[in-house]
Amino acid sequence: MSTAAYNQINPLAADPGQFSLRRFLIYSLILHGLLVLFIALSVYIKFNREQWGGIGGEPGSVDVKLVGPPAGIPLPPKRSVPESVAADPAETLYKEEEAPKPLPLPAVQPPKPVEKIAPFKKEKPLPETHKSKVDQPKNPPPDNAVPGKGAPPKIPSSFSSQPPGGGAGPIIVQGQGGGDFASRYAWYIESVRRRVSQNWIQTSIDPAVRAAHQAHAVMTFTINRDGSVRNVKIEQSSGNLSMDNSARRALDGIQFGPLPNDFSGSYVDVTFDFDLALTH
Amino acid sequence: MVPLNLRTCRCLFAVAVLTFLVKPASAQQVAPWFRTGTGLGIEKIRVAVASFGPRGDNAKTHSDQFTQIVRDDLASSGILDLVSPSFYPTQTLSQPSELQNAAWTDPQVKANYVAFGNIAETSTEVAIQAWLYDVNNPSAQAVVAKIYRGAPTDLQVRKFAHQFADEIISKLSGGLPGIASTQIAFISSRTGTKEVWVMDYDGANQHPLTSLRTISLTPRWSPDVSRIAFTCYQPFNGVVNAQICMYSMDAGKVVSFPHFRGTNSAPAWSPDGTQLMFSSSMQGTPELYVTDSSGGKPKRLTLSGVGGATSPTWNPKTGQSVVFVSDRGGIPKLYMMNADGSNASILDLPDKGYVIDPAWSPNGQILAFSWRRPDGNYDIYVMEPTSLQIINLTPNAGARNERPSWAPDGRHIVFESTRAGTRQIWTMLADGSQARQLTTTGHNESPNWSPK
Repeated sequence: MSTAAYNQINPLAADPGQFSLRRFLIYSLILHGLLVLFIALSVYIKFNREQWGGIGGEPGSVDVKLVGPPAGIPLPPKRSVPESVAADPAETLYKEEEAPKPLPLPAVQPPKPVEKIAPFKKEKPLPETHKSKVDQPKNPPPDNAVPGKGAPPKIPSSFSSQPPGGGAGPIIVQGQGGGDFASRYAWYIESVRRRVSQNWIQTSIDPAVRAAHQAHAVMTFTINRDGSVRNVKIEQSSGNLSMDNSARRALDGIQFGPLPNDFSGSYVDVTFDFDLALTH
Repeated sequence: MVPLNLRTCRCLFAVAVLTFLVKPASAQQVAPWFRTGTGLGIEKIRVAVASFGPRGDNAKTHSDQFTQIVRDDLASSGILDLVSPSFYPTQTLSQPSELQNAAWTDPQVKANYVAFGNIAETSTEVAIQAWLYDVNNPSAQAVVAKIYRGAPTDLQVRKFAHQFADEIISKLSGGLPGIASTQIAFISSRTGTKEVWVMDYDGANQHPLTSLRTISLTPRWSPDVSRIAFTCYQPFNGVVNAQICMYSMDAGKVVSFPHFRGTNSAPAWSPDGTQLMFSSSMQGTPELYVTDSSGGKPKRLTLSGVGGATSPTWNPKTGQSVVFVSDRGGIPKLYMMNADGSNASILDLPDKGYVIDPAWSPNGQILAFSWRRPDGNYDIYVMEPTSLQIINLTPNAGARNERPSWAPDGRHIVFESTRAGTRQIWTMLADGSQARQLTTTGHNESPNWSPK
């Protein structure tokens, strides 16, 4: 039959002259627009709630933020050696200025001395530190480089090279803990501290960095039930490759004593500070 | 058809999407953690050992003995200070309920940990309750809580005391082994002939293993402490020569080991115990050979030419490098080579003189040896092979100090010394301090510390 006849009997077929898809097109666009909006909103909310790379701060635990870049993404390294006044090149432009001699005329007030600039002290410039990067530097120092005329061999004994009479308490906050581990097992924390500290061989650290006593690396790891270690990570780089490597090596293959018998957990997370400023 | 109500549709849609946005608040527990750091350096831990309380008069001797041995073990451990008993508070302390923290943290005593307990004894059994408490921590305190039961003999009580001391060392040092239960094998001539003897690490319990009535030398524990390889004089094809001999701790006697031509001496075990290296002149000049642990398949490793090679010591951490003594350069010097004999090179020292008796530390990082410099006598030196830095551990001893051997904790060294007049066995900490004489009878030499 003809199209016109068919259209007449088909109730759904609108009049071709009057039928327009435009209405449905608009509805469709609105719905799609809403969908896109909701997706964008959810992504925005998700990003705001969680810091990139963070653990998701639960109340009561230490908010261990990853200060360094997530693995594999190279970011400009943070300089650990603070700018000092002496190292600031602009300082060399200041000239010493003497106050002018007051005129020996009693009647005249001596002119106020020009503001005296502190004499420029030429301090020893801080040593150049090797920047550490997350990806391999172009000329990495050999892995087991030990400076030829370094310190005497590290005799594994607690007598060696420690400051006499350790002071009132460590400067670094020690023995922080969550999940009540620190309150119940202070002795275990102390034993881990000793073990790692004694395993930390500083002779392989850049001698200039050692002399400056200014490097701080933070490592994190997990101790299993049996005392073995997993997940060793650099939490905060010191900015110096030899220092970071020495911290990593201190934990390499280390096996602690098993976790306390009456501790119910199967592991404990540890954050460990390696700080040259506090050592001999 | 009813047209779709767009508003309800949108609402439903919005609801559906929103439910996916709101993450269910996961009830995350606080994972156990702690933070600590290198701090101001390591002060020595201060431990007090209260007199163990005898429960009954018959336990008095053993409780005194137990207390004294624990005190000695902790004092010589090299990682903690034993608080002198003269400063202890006068309370009786044999149960945790009797412990008063304040008395022990008092500035006069200043203990970090207190060990205490009690001993009960019958004719058939001794029972020892032993605790170590952290007196700085008012809440949870017990670090060690043990009960030891066994035969009521001096030997058994001594063993228990060593075990308790080792437990304390292990817990407080963060997993490092204590050496209170280790032994030292050595050569003693006090019976008239040089035989292999064994004693506890503190010199107690000295007794002979062999009675071969020839000459025995250079005992070396196997890594699993089941056997001691040594040099002894045995016939081979009718000729009495130095041979590698083997004592089995399990069997309690000398067991057979293949004999070879020439002089065979200075055995050294591979870290996994499957191989034995020794010096042999079976093919002319003394060279280093390696065999499997039952003496089969000897293979030559070195080619010293005019000189010889002896006293091998295998790096216990890597098993890859071996240090030995060779006089191929004219006088005995230290050389390092791979375990397969390749790449032998001299270990340079900043002075002349005979260098002998090398011994690797358990962590494979430090070499101890004996060196007679032109201006002195034999002294024990330690060296880091990577940096070639050296330290003299026995300066001013005015005697011969030779044949160092490391304890498995890497903190102690046993050696032979003539500083007391005759050749005796001495121990010291790995920095040269706390030198202590272990033997007094006859002549005693060539000590070797058991690996466990």
